[in-house]
Amino acid sequence: MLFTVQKKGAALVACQFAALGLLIAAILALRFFAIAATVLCLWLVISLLLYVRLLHCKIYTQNHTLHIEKGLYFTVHIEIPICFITSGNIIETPLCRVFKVCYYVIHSSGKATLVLGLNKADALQLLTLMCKGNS
Amino acid sequence: MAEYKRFHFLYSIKYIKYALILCVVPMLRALIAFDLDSLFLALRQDAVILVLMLLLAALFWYYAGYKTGDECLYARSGLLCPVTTAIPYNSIAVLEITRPLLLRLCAASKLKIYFKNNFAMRSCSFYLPRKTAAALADRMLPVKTNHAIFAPAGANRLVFTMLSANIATSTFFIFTFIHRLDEVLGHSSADIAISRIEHLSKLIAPFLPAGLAFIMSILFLLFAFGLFLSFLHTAGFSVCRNNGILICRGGLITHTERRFRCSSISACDVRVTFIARLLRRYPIFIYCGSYTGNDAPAFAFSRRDTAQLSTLLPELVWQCPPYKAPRARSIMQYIWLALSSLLLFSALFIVACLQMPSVRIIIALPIILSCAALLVSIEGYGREGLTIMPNRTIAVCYTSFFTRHDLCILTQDVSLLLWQHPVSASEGRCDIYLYLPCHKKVRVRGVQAYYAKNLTLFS
Repeated sequence: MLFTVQKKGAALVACQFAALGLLIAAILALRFFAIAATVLCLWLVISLLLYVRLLHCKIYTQNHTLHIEKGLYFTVHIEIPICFITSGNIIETPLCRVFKVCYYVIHSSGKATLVLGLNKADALQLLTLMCKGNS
Repeated sequence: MAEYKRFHFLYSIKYIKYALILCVVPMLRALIAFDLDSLFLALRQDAVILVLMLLLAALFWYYAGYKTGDECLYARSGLLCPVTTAIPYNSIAVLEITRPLLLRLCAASKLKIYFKNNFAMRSCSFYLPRKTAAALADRMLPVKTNHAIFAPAGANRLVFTMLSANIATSTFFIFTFIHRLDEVLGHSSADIAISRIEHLSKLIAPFLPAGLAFIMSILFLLFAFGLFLSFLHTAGFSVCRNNGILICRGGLITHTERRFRCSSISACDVRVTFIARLLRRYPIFIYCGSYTGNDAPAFAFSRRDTAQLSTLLPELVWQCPPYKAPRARSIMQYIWLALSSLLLFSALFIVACLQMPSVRIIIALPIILSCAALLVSIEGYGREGLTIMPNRTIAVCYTSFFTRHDLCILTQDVSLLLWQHPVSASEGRCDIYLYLPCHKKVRVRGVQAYYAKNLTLFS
């Protein structure tokens, strides 16, 4: 079973990050306009990269292990045995509720893994899957 | 509440110690200024603070308690919103009983419990009367006999003391102590310490090159302090294994007893340090559940005599397995840090030789340390790797700074993270990060990507 981060989820997270950059740039622009413009440009580039990185996130199960793959150029592949997952938390902000996406946190052996912008329905299905795997 | 037994009164020590700090600071300031009016005012304030805090502490102590069930320990704490925690005995990985001097004077023990899994709380502590703590420990992790298998004596004791000495911890301890002393006394204790070190450096200055005496004095003092702490810690040290429990006891001033549930041991770390290489004895550190035993080794062994090792930890396979060699391992990935520091200090040394010859010997010391780190890094380039042994344990070898770690992971509760950047992806290698239940992260560099992706740690 394969779950991926959808475009709207990735866009929402990237937009929230960009909005934070806009806020910081606006505060800086009151005194240092050139620095604010540079910070904003950099921030927007990072937001775009974040959007691309999030789009390439996928979660699947194989041999009683949860696999999470992230990234396009700097790739990260995480493997967690399902029976050792201690908890899975779904976090929703009001904006997330509007777009029906969520942040999904998996707690396992000494590590917390965060998946941003996952569909709420997918996250619930993943949670059920992990509960079944643990039982 | 009748079913609950009360903790030892030292349970309230954490409330009283803050009150004592609040009391001592204004009193000392008045004493140093020799202002008697201020001193009497401070004493009156202290009396009120102490009485209030004692009352609060007594209330907390009165309403806190514990009771033992067939399979659980119930602990209750809190005044307005009491919280009851149930601790199943089978969820306990490590049980630690410590008896510092103050607790021994009050016939009390501090019982600290470390859990197997990543619970909301990783550990919890109780203050109990000595006999009650011992009885509770026997109920939680029962042992039948106390026949010591590893009890270093004579030269072995000296070797074990040297292996246990941790200069980094001692340095941190000294700096924290000086910082706290400054807070209490209100003037710099560091200046007093430096003036004392200068006396020592004057003594050894005739035997050392100019400028090196002060640094060597500090290093000597730190090493001596580390050895002294280690000597106190390893006094009467013994290790035994019984009923699936590994027990480590020892300590001169602070008596410590640790009981490890062997089935919960997540990893054994054999640290090959510079001293270990010289003495040909290797200390073993145990990671068990949420317990990270970084402060002291469980025991030490030599390659010639592994009988004790196989008796105490038969699960541990300590040998150099044939680590899978990566297709294209990059040496710069291993040596860049040591090499850059070596180049930096070499450049500084050349500049010092030309411009300030008097300080060149001071810069020679970091060059020697960088060379040592470089040698260890090169060893890491040759040896670092990961493999799954026939008994399903994971053997890992990695280096960090001056130490080589030979790790044997006994648990399957391991999360794996493979990391690749564009260059390593094109060369077909990756870095593996292993996450243990004790929140320890182990990095193995330069592993073949196809081998890492097909690792079946969990079966």
